[in-house]
Amino acid sequence: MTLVDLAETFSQAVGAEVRVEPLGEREARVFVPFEFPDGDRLVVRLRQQSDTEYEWTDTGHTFMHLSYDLDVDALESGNRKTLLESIEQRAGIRERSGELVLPTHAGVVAGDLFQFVQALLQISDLRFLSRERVRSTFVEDFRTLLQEHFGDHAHFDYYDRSHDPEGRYPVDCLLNSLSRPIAIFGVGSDSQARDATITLLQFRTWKRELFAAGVHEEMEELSGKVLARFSDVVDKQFSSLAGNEQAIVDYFQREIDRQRA
Amino acid sequence: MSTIVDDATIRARLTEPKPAVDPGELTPHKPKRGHLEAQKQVEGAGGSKFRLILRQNRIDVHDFSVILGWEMPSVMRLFKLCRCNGRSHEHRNPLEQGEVFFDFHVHTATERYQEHGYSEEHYARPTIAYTDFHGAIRHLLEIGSFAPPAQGTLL
Repeated sequence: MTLVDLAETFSQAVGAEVRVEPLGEREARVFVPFEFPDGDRLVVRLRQQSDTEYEWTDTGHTFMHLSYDLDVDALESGNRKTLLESIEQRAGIRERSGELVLPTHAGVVAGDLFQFVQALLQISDLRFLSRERVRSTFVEDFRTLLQEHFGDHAHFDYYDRSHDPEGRYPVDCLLNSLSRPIAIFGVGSDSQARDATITLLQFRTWKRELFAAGVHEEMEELSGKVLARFSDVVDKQFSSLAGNEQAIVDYFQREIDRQRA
Repeated sequence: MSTIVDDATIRARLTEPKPAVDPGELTPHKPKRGHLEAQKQVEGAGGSKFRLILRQNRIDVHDFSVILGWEMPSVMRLFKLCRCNGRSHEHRNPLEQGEVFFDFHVHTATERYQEHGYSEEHYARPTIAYTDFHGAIRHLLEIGSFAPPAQGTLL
């Protein structure tokens, strides 16, 4: 097969990947081989507005799909809003109550399809800026760090079985077998800081001696009062995990060595 | 890389008995960007926390999503056990010879797809168990081991 033959075959194969299903006189569903990260494909329709005017629309599906991973309210402020507006502006897309629309006309409708699809994929990628996703990584990184360094000495989700058989007051990680076991909390939000504060106060009422520490995702993101109360009950805090990994494990190792000396 | 949840755990969370839910709480009322949404948290008989998330597109009645998620303890992650989708888009399963279909379909969490780096609920199968949003809710409640709703409150 010559390169020219191959090019023609390839061109036909690519063209066959786009299929059209009429949904009435003025609207058609257009199947395209482009996917969201979970294998669901984009929703694309072509709607006729007049003899020569058309519009590409996603019928509001893109934001609904995005909401699987991201609270779409987060697109109404900050960096995500700026990025979204930038994508829409570059592609010439209009947003109509959550429906993404690209006006087009008979002469350029095919070319505009690719522009529309590219913009939908870029908007879909805003999910990777999801705050929850970042936070999830923080928790995993926190646990992995302690597991790798302290191995079997690190007890995750520890709770006092004699005082708290239902495990209502868990400690994220306890370094045990010490006169004063080290209780370490990963703190990624105000609610986690509040829970850790309550847990540590509860341990005090049980007369359990702990060396309490907090490792923050980003300390400055906590509200002032929450951080103040948490600071009152811990012995040591690290303002962030990222970049401080070695300092954190070194510190806890020194505390272990000190207690065992 | 997220922790991989094995098939036995997925099965255990799906079959963990869950209480009946009030259908009125499962009707999406909250306006979001182009769709309506409802969420409800429930606790299973084994103490696991679950979340039902329901979304209905405001333009296309066949574009909806009914999700059962498991709130994984201590990692602040909602693990999606299953998701019932409408007939509004195609789906492709890359590990099944890349099969593509366009139909009502149910996404299910699998260990296999996680091991290959895909999202937990990437795998999906077409279904004839429902043909509309309320049917999808009934189906999800059934496969998610929810107690049947009280008489007179059927969806």
